[in-house]
Amino acid sequence: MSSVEIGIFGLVLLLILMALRLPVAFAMIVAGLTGNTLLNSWSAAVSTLFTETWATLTFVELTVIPLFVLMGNIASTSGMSRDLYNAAYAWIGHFRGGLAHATILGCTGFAALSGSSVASALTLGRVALPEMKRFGYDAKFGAGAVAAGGTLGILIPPSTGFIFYAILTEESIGRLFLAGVIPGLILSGCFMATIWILTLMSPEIGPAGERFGFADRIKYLIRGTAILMIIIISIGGIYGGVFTPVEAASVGAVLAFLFSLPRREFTIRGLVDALLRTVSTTVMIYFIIIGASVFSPFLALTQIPAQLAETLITMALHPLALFALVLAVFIFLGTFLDGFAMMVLVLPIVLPIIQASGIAELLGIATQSDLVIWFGVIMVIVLEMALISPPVGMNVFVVKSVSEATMKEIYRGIMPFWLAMLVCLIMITALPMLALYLPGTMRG
Amino acid sequence: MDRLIDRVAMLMSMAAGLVLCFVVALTFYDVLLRYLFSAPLRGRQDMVEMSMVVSLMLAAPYTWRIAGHISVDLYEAIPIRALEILRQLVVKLLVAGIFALIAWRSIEAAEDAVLFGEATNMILIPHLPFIRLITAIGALHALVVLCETYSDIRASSSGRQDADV
Repeated sequence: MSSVEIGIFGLVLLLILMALRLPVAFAMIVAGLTGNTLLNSWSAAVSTLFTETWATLTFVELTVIPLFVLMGNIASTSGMSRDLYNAAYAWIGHFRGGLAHATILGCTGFAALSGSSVASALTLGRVALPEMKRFGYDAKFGAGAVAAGGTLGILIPPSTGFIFYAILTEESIGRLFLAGVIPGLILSGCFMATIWILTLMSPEIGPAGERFGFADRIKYLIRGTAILMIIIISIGGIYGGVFTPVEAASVGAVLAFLFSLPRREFTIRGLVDALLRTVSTTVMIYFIIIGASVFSPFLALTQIPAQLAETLITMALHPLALFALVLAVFIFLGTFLDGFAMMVLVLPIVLPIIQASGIAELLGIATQSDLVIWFGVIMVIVLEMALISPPVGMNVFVVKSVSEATMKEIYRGIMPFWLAMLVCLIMITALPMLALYLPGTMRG
Repeated sequence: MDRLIDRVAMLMSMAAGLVLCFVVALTFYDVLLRYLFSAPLRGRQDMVEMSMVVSLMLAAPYTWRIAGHISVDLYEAIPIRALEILRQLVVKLLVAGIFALIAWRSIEAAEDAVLFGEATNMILIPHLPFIRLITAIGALHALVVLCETYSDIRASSSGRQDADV
């Protein structure tokens, strides 16, 4: 067999193993081992497995993952995330669609504490959906807002999506984090605009909530300041060059713990639960990285990514047409593949194509590093779309667990927000500076 | 048997959580030392590296037990029971095999670590005990998955006997 044939065999094997519901990490390891054995030898393949396991476990930059996950889990367990929602609710809940707006704002704030979309959707869903039910909100509209708002978790830093992308592309985690800030706020704005339009067209789907007095509004706002402080110190610290991402994550985790201590909801049991969820999430992500480290070099050795890139370039498609084709493939794969799996599988193939396509010159992106960062933002937005796309929309399953709406209703409720994501995607494509401005001004 | 495995996995995971707390505290302490006393903690990175090996390996069996690894859940189960049992068997044997391979290769890596005196860069923490930990927990993880497989086979055969009766 030629190396390309072996590569195709490896990809098919990977898809078969994933279809058998072997966890993605292990499917990549098995396919990578098999492929490496065919290309080289069994002993070389097995040796790679241990070497990559050791290298991943001892890669100190990856520590940012468990530390930020812990910060988010502590904030969630101690009820701090509810403070954000309550503050937003107190200020805008009395407007039409106000509870849905408050949910998006709560998700935006919580996203800055948690890198996980699933955690954001679950935490805010538990708080917001019962309130929406109380005020007679349309179930599918409410569930759609929660599922979509939750996806902000992987765009607004700290983001596990960006950490994963940074590891795969050897880019700076700090710069990618900052690249997500403005697009995250724009997406949040797009979601709120969607809510405004939907409630303008059908006011009955999002009636006004209760009106709070000024004193109550100030009270709830003050309660929400703890979270704002954590966000400003940890993410602001990265921007200002005060902390490395790992240090910022540890400072954020300690602050989240200290601010949680006086809260009644924060118990020893809650802390243990937060720790257990953190370590299991961390193991899951680390093993995907180990799987990627075994599978990606095999794929590179087969020359498939390089040959595919060459073929597409020789087709002389317009850079934007090529880019649209790549996005269409991503969106299609995202409908049934997990986001991390998709990134691992497709990124090594697609990134060389994007780099050679001429899109950087067309959009005025100055350096290859900027191109990789901009594409990272695009990729994460596509991952967000995947998180709420049928049939495997992780956030939809999460919202279903806390909502009374059926899956079909939730997917229907999500549709307008999915289109809002598409609008945001077009904006970031047309104006790459929206993603690249902050990383360009970063210190340190 | 299942309850014992769950309890051991949970205890190991709690220990992993404590190690993670140590990593948080250590990194935070290093930041404080650097900004307040201009004296960063020597070897912090080495300690974090090795702590992460311990934390991740300790938490691996628990993550497996709670089905914490991401898989593509396009369907809940294959409608034909025999095929579904076969699917589960293949999945579990592959996972057991991967951890057995990691354990096996780590034995050879441990020999190399002794031979070359491998240690961390700054404060020279020897790699050997941590590679041994990977061997032990890799083997344990493989064993846990094999025990699950055995339980599944027994459960499916007794289920078939019940159906025959």
